Amino acid sequence: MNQEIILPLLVPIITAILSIVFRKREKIRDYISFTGSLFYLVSVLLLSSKVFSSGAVSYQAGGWPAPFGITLVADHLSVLMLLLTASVSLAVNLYSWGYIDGQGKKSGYYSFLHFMLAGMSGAFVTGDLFNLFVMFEVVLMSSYAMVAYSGTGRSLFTSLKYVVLNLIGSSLMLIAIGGLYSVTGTLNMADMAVVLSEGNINMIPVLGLSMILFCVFATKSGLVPFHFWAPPVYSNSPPPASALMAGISKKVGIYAVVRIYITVLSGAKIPETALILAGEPLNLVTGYLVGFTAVATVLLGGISAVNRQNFDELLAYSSVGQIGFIYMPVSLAMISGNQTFLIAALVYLVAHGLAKPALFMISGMIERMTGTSGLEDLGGLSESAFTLSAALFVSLFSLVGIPPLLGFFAKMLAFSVPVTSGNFFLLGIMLIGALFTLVYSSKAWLEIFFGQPVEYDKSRISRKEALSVIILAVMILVLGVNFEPVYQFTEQAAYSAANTEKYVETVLGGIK
Amino acid sequence: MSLVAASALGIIFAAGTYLMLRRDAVRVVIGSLIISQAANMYLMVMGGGEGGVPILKHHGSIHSGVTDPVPQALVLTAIVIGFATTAFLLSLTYRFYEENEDVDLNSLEGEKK
Repeated sequence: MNQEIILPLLVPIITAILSIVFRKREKIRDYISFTGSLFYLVSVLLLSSKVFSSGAVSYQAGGWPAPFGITLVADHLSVLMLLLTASVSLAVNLYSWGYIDGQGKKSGYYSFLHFMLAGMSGAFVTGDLFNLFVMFEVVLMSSYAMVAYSGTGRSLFTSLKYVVLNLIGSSLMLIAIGGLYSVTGTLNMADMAVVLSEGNINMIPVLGLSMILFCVFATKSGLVPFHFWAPPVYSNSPPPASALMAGISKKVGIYAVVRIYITVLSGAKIPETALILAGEPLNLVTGYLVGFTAVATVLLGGISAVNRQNFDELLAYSSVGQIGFIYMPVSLAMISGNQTFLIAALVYLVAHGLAKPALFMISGMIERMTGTSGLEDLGGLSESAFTLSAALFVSLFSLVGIPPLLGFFAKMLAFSVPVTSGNFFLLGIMLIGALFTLVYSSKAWLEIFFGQPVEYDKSRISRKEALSVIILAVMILVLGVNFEPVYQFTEQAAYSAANTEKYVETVLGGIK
Repeated sequence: MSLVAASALGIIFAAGTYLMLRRDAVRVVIGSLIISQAANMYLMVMGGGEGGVPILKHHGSIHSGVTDPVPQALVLTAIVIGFATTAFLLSLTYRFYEENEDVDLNSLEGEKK
């Protein structure tokens, strides 16, 4: 048995419970939480070394063989996501240590943080569709609490809207999963892939239910027209929580789209009786749908970010727009079936997943030092806080795509995808989106760095916050300079996402 | 039978949607509760009749005389999750009322910024 798979789930849950128990012990609660995230990183590294040495591994919970029990699967794609989560969560934890006040820690901030991590790792390793739903709920429950955290009228209102929206999302997901179970007779993703590729079932409900499921994943990852919840949620949560939500929990939605549509539903075909596209793969339709929503996301996110006067809101809208860049290669990969396109999406995902948390955390520090996050009121950061400016420079221009930062390779690979497939419409949209990114990033840069220096009260932040953003900035720089291993890793992740046979073999082993 | 179940589900979903579009925060909460219950009921109806029990024979084939237990297990989990979320939502609404002395969602929308 491969017990390592369950470690990234167990460690955050244990840490979260310990954090509840010791939440009033001022001396040790920070150490418990930080040690917990260190152990989390170690457990993810253990699992990664296992996957690197012996390929994808699976674990049957309770010893029930697949497809009857719940299966946990870790392949290169899951491990990629877990490694990203573990590195960001370490930085977020260090940042929260300094940033969150005693009252917040006392009311259980750390336990929400770790439950969120547990939900995310669960979503990345699960091989069961219903288990994915449960893990989504675990992430959501923690994020509800995070949004309502400040307890002011505005954040309560945002949280209320966010909870109601996600309650509808959960109901839809439940309907889609229940329907898929009723059609295919299984909840195990690998088994479902087998059933769908055999094609002995009625494909018409699968078509409709998979579209409902797509709406749910689009809501989670903030694709236009399901993006409207994201900006107020990010600007109302405490910065470390919005860093984790914008950086990682949006990526859970993207991971689910890649896993469900590219790995599981790749064998599904549109029924022969359909009026158009009869007999074509289901992913052709999904691919176009993803493509059009991604185009709208890039344009709308970019336009909305450009005219923001507040650094926090600018970042929130920018994170809407950047999701579109990740989905565009995914859509072309779905349409053409070319798995190498997924590499671009995954590299972009990692680059954005490191840069955006760093930016949200820097924005939180600037707001605490100056008391404002309005771009007009800021200026002269480069004179008063050198290391912070350097970190901001690296993460902001990784988003734009300046070599040798990681964002440059992400942009380069993303641009190469429509060029290879000859889709010049998407290339044009990407160029416009990149232009928007450049405009709002340089606007933020000019307003914050130059101009009339404002007073920075450095006593309000500690070294821990600074260290945590430096960790992320250094990672962006190091992974950019040393890009070859990142590329090889994401290449393997892309192949394991597209290789349904290998996935099925890992889960079902000798049964099928 | 399935027509009755389908129309009942439709009416419940419609009622939930109607309540959710109200200005009153409490009605929105009740509406979302009704929608999540309707989703549970949908699952029960889907798996209520005779179905393929995965242990006996999986892959969607009908195995007569036995009700499939899996949808019921799913609904049980979903009810617990829905219960927790609704409890949170209700306490959030109460906190919202304490803060604003009002549960009208539009009144707050106007105050923004």
